[in-house]
Amino acid sequence: YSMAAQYVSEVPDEMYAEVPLVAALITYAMYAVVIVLGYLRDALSKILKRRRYAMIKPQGCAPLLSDFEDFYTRRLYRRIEDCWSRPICSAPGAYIDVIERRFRTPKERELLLQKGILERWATKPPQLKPVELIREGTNEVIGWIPQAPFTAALTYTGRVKRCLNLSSYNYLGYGEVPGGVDASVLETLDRYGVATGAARESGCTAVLRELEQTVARFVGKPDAIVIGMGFATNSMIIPAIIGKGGLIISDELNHASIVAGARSSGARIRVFRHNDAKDLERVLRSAIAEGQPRSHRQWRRILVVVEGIYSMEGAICNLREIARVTRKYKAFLFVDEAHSIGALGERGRGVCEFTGVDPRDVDILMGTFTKSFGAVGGYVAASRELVAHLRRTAPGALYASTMSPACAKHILFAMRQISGEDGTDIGRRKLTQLRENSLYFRRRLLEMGLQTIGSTGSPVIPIMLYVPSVIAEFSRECLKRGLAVVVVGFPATPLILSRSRICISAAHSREDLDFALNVIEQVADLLKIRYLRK
Amino acid sequence: MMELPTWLSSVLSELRGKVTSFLLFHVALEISLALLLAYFFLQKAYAPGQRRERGTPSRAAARFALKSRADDLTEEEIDALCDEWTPEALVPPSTESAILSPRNGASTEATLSLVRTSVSIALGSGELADTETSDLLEAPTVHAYEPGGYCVVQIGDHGLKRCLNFASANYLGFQREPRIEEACRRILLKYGCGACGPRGFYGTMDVHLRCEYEIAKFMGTHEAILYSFGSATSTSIVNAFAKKGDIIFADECLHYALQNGMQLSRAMIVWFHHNDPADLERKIVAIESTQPKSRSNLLHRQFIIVEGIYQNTGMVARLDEFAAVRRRHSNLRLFVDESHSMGVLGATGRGACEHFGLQLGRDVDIVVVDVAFSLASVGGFCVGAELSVVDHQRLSSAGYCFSASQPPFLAEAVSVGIQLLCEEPNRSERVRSNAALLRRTLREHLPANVLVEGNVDESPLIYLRLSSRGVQSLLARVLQLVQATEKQLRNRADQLRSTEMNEDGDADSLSDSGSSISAEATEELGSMVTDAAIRQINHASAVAAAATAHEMVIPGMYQAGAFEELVTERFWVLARERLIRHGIWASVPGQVLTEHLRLPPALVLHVSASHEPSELVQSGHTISRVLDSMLSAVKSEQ
Repeated sequence: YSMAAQYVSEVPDEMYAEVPLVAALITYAMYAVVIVLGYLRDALSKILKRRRYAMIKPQGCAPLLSDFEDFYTRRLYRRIEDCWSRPICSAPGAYIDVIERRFRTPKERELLLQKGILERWATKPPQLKPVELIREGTNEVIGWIPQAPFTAALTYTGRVKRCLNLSSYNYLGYGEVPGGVDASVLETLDRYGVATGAARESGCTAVLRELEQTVARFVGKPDAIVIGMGFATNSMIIPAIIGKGGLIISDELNHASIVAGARSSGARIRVFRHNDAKDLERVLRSAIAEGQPRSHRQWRRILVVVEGIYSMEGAICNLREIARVTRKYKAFLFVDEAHSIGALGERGRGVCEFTGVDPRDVDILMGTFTKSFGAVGGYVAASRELVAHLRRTAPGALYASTMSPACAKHILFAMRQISGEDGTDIGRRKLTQLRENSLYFRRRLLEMGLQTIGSTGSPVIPIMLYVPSVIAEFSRECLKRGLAVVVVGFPATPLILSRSRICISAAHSREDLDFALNVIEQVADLLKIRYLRK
Repeated sequence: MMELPTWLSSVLSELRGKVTSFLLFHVALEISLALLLAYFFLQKAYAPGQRRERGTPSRAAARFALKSRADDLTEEEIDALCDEWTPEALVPPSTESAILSPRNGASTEATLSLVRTSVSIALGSGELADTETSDLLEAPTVHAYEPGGYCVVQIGDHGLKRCLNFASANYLGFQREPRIEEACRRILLKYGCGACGPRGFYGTMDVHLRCEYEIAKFMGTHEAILYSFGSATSTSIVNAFAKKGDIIFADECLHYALQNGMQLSRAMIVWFHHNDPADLERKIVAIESTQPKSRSNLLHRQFIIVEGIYQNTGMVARLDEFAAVRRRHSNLRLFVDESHSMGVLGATGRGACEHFGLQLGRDVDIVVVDVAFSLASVGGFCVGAELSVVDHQRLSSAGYCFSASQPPFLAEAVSVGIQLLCEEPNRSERVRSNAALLRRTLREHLPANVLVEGNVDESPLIYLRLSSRGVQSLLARVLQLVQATEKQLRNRADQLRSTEMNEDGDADSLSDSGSSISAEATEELGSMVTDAAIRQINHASAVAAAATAHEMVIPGMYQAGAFEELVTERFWVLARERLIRHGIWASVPGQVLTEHLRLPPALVLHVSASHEPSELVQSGHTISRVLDSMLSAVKSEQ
């Protein structure tokens, strides 16, 4: 893995998950067992009328949830729900303080439920006493949190454990800035207050306009519009870019926000195989030849939507090929750089710089500030006319409240440091540190025999677990050893492709990574997930 | 064989009895598992990409679908089709020009500037004409917010003006509240700015849990769910509960986020007239009669979606009557968006439900609030009576699972805001009395052609709209100006052509005609603008004739033409520009389009508890004076 080779990669390589037959068999068998047992227990509880609390609903009303939706949550997710939504009580930096939880014993839960239903707690303020947080190993109280609601399966023990953080997207370490936040952010808080309380039409602050110009310059586009939430940037801007009579060709593994935006735009949606330019060309040609369904009239516009880095795959977009095909068939290209802006490229300019594509060839460059800039919100950078059109007609501009000025100032601070406009080389050092960490971590994992997927230069490194029981065990064992990792299973990923997603950060030192690799090695031996061992 | 101790043999025999039943159960389980495994293996093996691509019809549908043209075309034919296909421009012609001449293609930007300048000349705002640049299309920039409901707004390129802020919704005066900012500063120093992860992946912080606890305590439920962005809250929640086959009875004037959620949920939407429970009941009865009493229909959910105070009209919903309709019919859940009524209505500021004496669980099922309006933060929350309302959203609401969690300092602003509201309930009374005061002064002093919308005086959201008679006089005046300018330009163009015969007259002689209309614009101007304008003026005058002196603009009735909308929106944008010069910062909300209804453009004032009553009366007078001068400028020229 030569360092220079990874700065600009013409065609990012991508490792795919080859599912070992044994793992697939075990996965299917496990799901089968859990589903059958689940339906058996459901049948039993219906006969013995034990599941009373779920039945409480306004009389004469249909149940709020369809049975299967509720079944999956009740019988599959609830069994291992302690691996997700783990609360923390520190900044999302290299290390985080994870608040410990434990399962309530069945008797404890039954008592609470009966008491809650009898005394109609559902429509009363929370009845359980808050919990004091005590750091592990000391008896120093560092705060309080409310006790979990009476319907929850997990309760807080009050102990807080410091863990190495491989889960938050904190690629350049702006989740935890020395001293909390930059002084300029506090000045902005004194000048503007907490929030504007208005839509862009009357709440567009000077900080926001400055951020829009800076983002446009950073990404290499004439103009940009900033929206207060990453998810809403896609779901409330795409309807203004393309409407009825248009066609959206979207990558198979695109994010839920892109799907929401595409569905509310009224355009038709076609899907092409993940990161495969040939399949995109096939879909484009058949779409143009066929025209709109039934009427066969020409499409008004075709928009190809891809992502810079796919968050669950860690795969970098094959942008050079996809841009060539899109230009060849006169379609427009929309790249969602949520994870790649700030994380890829020698100067952090994202997937365009990494794959050597000129930003002018991409019609719309979208991205978010939650990942590399450690704030919130998203941007859409494009030509001056399109951004003016979006400002006038996009629901995101007309009806959504504008970003809080303090967050906008934090992003400006981070962006100036990354681009080196503030005269320091902190940004450059962070970018090189992130790249070295990513390459080092991925190489060591492969040497260990763990199946990692995605592209070599990407800071998102998924480790394939395949077997459902390993999902929970991997997360619990790592937490026990002081390592906070994220595990993902069905339905976020296909049934047999569950994985653990590691997010590397520039804030991690080499010792941190070695500690993490040591822990992962122990857990891998314990759970037998060295699928690639020679 | 060794004699077994008695206790051991009894245990063994008892076991033997149990063993057989255990074996039977075990065998049955194994068989069912084997069948399940066989079923899975007969499935097409899963491999990303090979499986049927989502766009193409399934095998069954393919048999009946029209032969797809692409299948039996040769590669060369497809190449030819691809070369011929030319997409429309990514940036559509600006909506205004599309409105002006939908049939014969887009008119030039010059035509638009002609209409804009005529409107500004018509309103006698000559001194504004010079700033009549395109940036008026984009709202002015705010440079600072100050305590007491003030803000500093930019005028022109660099002028700054300290104005009374009616544009930001700050009902309880929590904007620039020192105690809230102090708490936010502490959280910023400890947790930094963002949360760097969704709630499911270590994005949940103790600050979020404490904020949900405060909200649950305030709203009187066991649990609440906190979202990171207001407009994503209602969209995701409607989408999480309503599915294909469900029915939603929705008020016509719901705000965009609710409508987007309904559109995404694929449920059947039945619109009822704005804030009209009788029409709702008619629609429910109509639906009940058509729906056969089959079991599947009983399983389908039905929702009534209303807003405590409607964001698009400022009206207070008749929640007690909506709840009564809900009780009279079965299988109906009431979903209330209390974004503008929370903190404003109700004795202790708990919103429209408390104001009408409704109880969460008995009358109302789901309450959603966007905290940007009364709690001066960014985000939203939801509470529900049923145990599974909040639980279900943790996994199935897109705006919660797939989005990064709320920055901790904004969550802290919400919890401290709620504590403050509990300590000082008089803020709710103050904002209600301020709203009533401003409405009364406006009603007394505003010219006849401007209507103050709203059914209850205490609603802090005040919409000012032109009555149909006002619109009609404005349109007639603008048309006169357009025709006058057109006549002037046409004969200029003839002179130009005649001079061109003998020597090349310089084209820019036209430019000093007051509006930079190039020669070819005049031909295109033609009758296109004028006949569109005349048609709408006849319509407006017909409506004006029918309307009584103080009629209320009933949204259902309003069928505006595009030209009329463009002119009225220019009127309000120019009114806001002039009001800024007088120290009042109001907002002209974006064009509110529902697929079947367009609301007339309006000027919106958000009253706040931090505004002083004296300031309110004085600004009421100023607004009336400004609008009076603009409308009288229109009348005097006729």
